[in-house]
Amino acid sequence: MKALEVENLKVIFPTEAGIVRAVEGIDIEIDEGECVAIVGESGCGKSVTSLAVMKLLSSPPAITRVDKLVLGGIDIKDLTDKQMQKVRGKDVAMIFQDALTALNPVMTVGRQIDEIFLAHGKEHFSDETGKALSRFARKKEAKRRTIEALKLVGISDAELRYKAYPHQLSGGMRQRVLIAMAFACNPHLIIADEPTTALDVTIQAQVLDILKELQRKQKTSLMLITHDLSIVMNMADKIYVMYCGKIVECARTRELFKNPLHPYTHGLLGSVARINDDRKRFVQIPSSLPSPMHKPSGCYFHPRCVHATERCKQEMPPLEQLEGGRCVRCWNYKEIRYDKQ
Amino acid sequence: MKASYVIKRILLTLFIFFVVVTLCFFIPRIGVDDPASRYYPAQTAGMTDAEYEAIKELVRQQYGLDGSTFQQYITYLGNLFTGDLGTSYTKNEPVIDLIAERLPWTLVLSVSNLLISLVIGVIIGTMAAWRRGRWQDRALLNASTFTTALPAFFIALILSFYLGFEWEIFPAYTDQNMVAGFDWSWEAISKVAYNASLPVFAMAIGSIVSYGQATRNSVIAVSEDDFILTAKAKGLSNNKVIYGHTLRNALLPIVTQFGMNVSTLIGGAVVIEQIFNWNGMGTLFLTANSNNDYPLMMGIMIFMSAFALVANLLTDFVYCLLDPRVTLGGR
Amino acid sequence: MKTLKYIGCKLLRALYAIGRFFKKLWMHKQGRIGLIIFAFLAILAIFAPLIAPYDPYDVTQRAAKGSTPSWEHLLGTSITTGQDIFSMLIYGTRSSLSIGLITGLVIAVLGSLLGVAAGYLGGWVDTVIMRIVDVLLVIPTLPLVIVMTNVLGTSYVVIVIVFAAFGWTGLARVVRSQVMLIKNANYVKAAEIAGASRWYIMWRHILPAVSNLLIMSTALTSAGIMVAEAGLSFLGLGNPTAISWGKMLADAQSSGAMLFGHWWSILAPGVGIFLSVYSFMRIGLALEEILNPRMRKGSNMLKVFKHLNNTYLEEVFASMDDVSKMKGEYQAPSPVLEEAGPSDIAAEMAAPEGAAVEEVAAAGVAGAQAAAAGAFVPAAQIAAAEQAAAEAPFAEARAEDAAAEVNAEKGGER
Repeated sequence: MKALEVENLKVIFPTEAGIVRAVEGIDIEIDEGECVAIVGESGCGKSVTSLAVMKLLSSPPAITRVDKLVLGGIDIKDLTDKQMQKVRGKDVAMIFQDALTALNPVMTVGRQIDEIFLAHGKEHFSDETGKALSRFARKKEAKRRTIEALKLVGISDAELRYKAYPHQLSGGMRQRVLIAMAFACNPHLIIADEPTTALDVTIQAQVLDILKELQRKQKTSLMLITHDLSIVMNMADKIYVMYCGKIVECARTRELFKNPLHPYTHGLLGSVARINDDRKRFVQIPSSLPSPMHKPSGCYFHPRCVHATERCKQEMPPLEQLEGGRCVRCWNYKEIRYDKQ
Repeated sequence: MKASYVIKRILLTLFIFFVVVTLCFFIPRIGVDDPASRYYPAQTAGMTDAEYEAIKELVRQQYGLDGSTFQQYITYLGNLFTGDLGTSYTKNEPVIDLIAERLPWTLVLSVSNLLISLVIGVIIGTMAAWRRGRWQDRALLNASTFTTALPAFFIALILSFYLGFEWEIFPAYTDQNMVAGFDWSWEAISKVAYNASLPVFAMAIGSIVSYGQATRNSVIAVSEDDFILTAKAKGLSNNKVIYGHTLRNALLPIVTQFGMNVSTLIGGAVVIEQIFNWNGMGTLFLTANSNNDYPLMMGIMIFMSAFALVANLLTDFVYCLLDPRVTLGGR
Repeated sequence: MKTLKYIGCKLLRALYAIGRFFKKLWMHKQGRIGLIIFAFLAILAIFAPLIAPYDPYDVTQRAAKGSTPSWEHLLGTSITTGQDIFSMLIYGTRSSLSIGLITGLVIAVLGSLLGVAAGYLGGWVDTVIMRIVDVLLVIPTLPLVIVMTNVLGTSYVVIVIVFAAFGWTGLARVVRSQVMLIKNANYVKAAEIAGASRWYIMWRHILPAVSNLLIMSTALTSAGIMVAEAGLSFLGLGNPTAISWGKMLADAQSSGAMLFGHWWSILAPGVGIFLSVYSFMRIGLALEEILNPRMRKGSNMLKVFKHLNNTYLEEVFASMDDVSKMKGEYQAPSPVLEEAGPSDIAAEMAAPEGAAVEEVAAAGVAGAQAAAAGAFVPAAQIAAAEQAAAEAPFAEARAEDAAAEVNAEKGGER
């Protein structure tokens, strides 16, 4: 069983100035227990993808189309918002980027985690005879579980932190609370949207370790959305590289790092610093991301690509499926030889 | 930390009160050499100079206006400390008694206005935010520019013209028997409600819309916050998201607005009271003004300021209780 | 000569900035309404003696006391004195607008100076100014103004001074907090490090940054002052020699206009107050929206969604598909039709084909609606909609009658 299957997901945002094509038909597959990373520059549609998978994009402003959206065996494509409420938090959970704004400032973190148990755990909240617990007992049980969850993500004095407000915690602590929240109901899939971008580098490593450990232990699938390839290197099993709302390359992590096929991937890898780096300077990708409203003709990457040919300017290359689950969207990937990095 | 802030805040309040009192002491003394000249009528035709001087002297003694300005000031502060706001010049009664007599009537108007507009305004505002951009929302927006451009006293005049004079549904003038014969019976209370309906309605139209608009903006601002997305991602029901997360945060600025309105509870209805001849603090003040009754005017001003100060203090403390980010020391 | 040129240059630049400001306001629909009403009232105020048919101060027309509206007296005459109400209404524009504008400007200067001083200088200056604000905010405004006019008299100057002296607190607070934000901005820090003096920084960096805010709040405070002035003169405490709308209302009420049913003598000054306040508020609110465009995002988004063209949307969605995929999916229908070329077969095809197009188009519309309502669309519907887009040319060519209607609708939408 796959943890997530997305086929041909498209998201657009109609605005006064024109239609913003945020996501242009992407396919994602995540196996059970697998960690898949979606990598790309900011503005390439990564976050929109994650929200679309949760069906959290409201309309207006967004219009979403998808051919297939199956989550842990449940087809959620046609579910109404009300039905989705039962899925969200239980089968799929999300970790947001900035924990300070992602937590309700006037509610204790404990109560915010309680809410998940109270919303989803009704069938679990029963005594030995199968009778449903009273309201008070349910709350007590939720609190017990919350403290357990807080301990799981390595928060010391969990009972004390239970009563803390978000602003009273440190940045790393807040992010751990978010992680505890995501793992609370042991979902099939956790989507982590830039989980460490707002943190210091040292804290980043701690948080990633916790995330990885929990993911391995609970056999949860993880969809890691980031612009930082150095994070991905140790975390992900498979990587999708996104550019301008389209997937330009996907591969197993090892293969991608060893032998990138798309010039964009190559450029991204060139900007990662490594130990034993003897390069004089980093490889750069010239220029910047085109506007999502006025995308270039042909291959979206051609204005920034050093290997671009006449054909690249005219036609959008298809996503070519290669052996070993690899795929690449480039006309010339066979011809291009990169210098050894 | 907490206690020291509370003490600081109270000391500041006392200081401001002291400044207000000082102002109220000196305002009647602007532009005149002899403050007593503000307190007695001009010399009439049949009065000799000696008689007039005698009256002046009497007034000076009676109102504590003899001695140097500094001595008067000290006496004034001393009296105030014992709760004595002075004696009314025209009515010859202690100011504090006159205020106590009128205060409940003003509160009837302004408290009912405040509560009605708060409740209805918040409901309307939430609905408008929920139906953002649709006709409910646009109607509220248009109403808000419309009613803020319409002074409450004009609304009151129109209401009293149509509902009072033309159609005779509500009384256009307050029945003075309502005050004299008030005895807490149902009849008396319903009479008060009947008489108060027009003035309250006139005041409430504007403030309902302003609460509605403030609530709407606040709810929309909060619903775009990240933590609302988190709440939805947790799989909470729509009701939980709205009542548990959105409204709880969106109503914080409304608390501030409510506090500000509470502080103008007694001073805000002057014109409306005048139009409906309502027996409250506003008409008391206006009568005092037309009679040049300075002790009464200044007494009312001091009382209103004290009320506002206490209201502000309470609002601050309540806000601290509601918003954990605002610690009592750290603002 | 050089200084003259310098001053001229500055003047031109200022004029240019003012012109651009008015253009911005004019482009904003609500701001334009405010500007038009304001211009209308300003013309009334300036040319009042030319427009008003009677002398509004003339109380000698004993014969025409309390007359009802007629061609002679458009809004009738006042009950006790027989003044022409229409003329009074026009003259009333003068006192209302001038007091509103002048007081608003004085408040803008006072409030911005004190606000900038408190915010930028900080320290004891800040403390003193904020304590004054605290005191003024606590004392009830209208009673305080009444007392002051009692002590100082009710001349025009006194009223402006009193309103300005008690009205600057709100603006000063807003400016102060804005200045404190800017003060900590990096570009101001950089200027400080580069050795710029305090006055230079206030003049070149901080004042321009709060100037928009200032214009906006000047418009809004002017509106507030006009309401307050009307209230004051309604209480009979305004300038006794001037004709003002508030006083007209008070006269109408006290002379029994209500009892006689003279609704026009109440409505007319009220409309005057409303129009003048409304125009200032419109301008102020329009500026507010120009300043933070975020405030109007929602309603526009809804408008965009209302006018969305479904066929165009389908084209957009279809254009996102990969070429190879499209080839695979859309091969089926075309060869059959192309082989069957002759016109008789085309005619035979017309009816079902047309119906199919209609159906498919309907499916497309429904699909888009479903998407707009926040639900995901079944793949079948998307495919159908995409086919509708792809097949539209065929349908046009072959099933003219049936398809014409559908396409006319589409064309209309487009």
